[in-house]
Amino acid sequence: MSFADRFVLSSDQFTPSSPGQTFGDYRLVIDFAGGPYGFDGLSATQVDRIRTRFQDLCHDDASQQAEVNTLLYRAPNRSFPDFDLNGWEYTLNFEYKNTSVGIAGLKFFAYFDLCRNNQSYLWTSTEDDEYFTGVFENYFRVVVAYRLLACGGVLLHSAGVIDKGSAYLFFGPSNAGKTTVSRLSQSSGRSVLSDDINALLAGPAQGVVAEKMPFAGELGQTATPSGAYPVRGLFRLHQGPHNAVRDMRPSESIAALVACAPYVNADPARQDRLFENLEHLSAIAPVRHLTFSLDQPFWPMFASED
Amino acid sequence: MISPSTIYKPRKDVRYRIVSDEAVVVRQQSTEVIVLNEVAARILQLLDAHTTLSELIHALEAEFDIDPPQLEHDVMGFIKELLEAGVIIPTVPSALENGDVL
Repeated sequence: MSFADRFVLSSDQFTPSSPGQTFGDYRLVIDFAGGPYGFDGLSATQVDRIRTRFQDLCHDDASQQAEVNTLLYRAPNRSFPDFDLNGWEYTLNFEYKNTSVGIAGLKFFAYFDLCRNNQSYLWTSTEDDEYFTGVFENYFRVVVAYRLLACGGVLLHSAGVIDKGSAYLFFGPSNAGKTTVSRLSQSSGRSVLSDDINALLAGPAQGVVAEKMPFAGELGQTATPSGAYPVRGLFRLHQGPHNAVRDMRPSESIAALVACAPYVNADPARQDRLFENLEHLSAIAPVRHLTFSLDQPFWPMFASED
Repeated sequence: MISPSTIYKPRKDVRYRIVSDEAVVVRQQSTEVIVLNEVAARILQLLDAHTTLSELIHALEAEFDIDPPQLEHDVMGFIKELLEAGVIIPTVPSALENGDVL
């Protein structure tokens, strides 16, 4: 039995020591929080698809050094079983080890070596079909989560909103109201980083910053410029009949943040690091509960804190 | 039935951190996160050190100013809650779940 059995017929064929054939000779570098992230072994078609998806974040200077390097390898289509996706909730499968993480998903298998210069290997059968962008993004989100953790930060399921140059992150599980809060904030003239997932990192001068991720939810990619925005508030979202802000105990803060730190919060080998990062970040940027009502604007509550 | 002579221990997929005397507990298989108060956090720490319930109660008597019968009652209540939450398991072979080892 392998952790990847659900998605691959035999994971034995995917080994870094004998990885097989790349798709091509192209290299692409994508740069945002935790990066740059380098990808080698791409075909021209794959480069086009990635450029279309990540646009300005792609660097033309392919010689640029990257913090994480991924080699893409071609796997036969028969390596991956076909799925009937109707009514199926898609979650990746992982194998956590002290020095590496194995990732298996629809039409891909990946091995992320966390010791050897963050070298990673991605095997997929897709190149130009509808799956490739999905494979690439599903894999990339995991890599970014691990990279941010190594940088002292966290990838947080959250809505990121900019108000007067500062960031407010509203976090919570699915259906907590992240997209709703993002839309309400946009309609009141504020800009949104992402309505789904944002980077939270230690910033300069012992502050905490939020950075835009190229991963969005229902709202889609926004025009808000990339950059590090100083964090003014971290709020665990709840919906209710009246707007209210409530303080959290330190343990509550850590618990709420851990629950919204995807991928790494299920990794036993990285749990201590996640706790450490969140203790540090939440000590600087206090975490509070925000209950918001659809009937009342909640932003005026923060005006008194200016 | 909770027996004072039984040793309970955190499940294999449980990780925890003491934060301001409370415990943040993560069940990694389900990524459920719970917070335990000071006494429950201390109980979890003692269980993690392979303490029997009898030894655990003696240790807590020395640490907390709680009436012994009340303390024993509270400990049994916490153990029941931790068992129901899937945070701990008894280290009795017949009660072990798949994948858990002594």
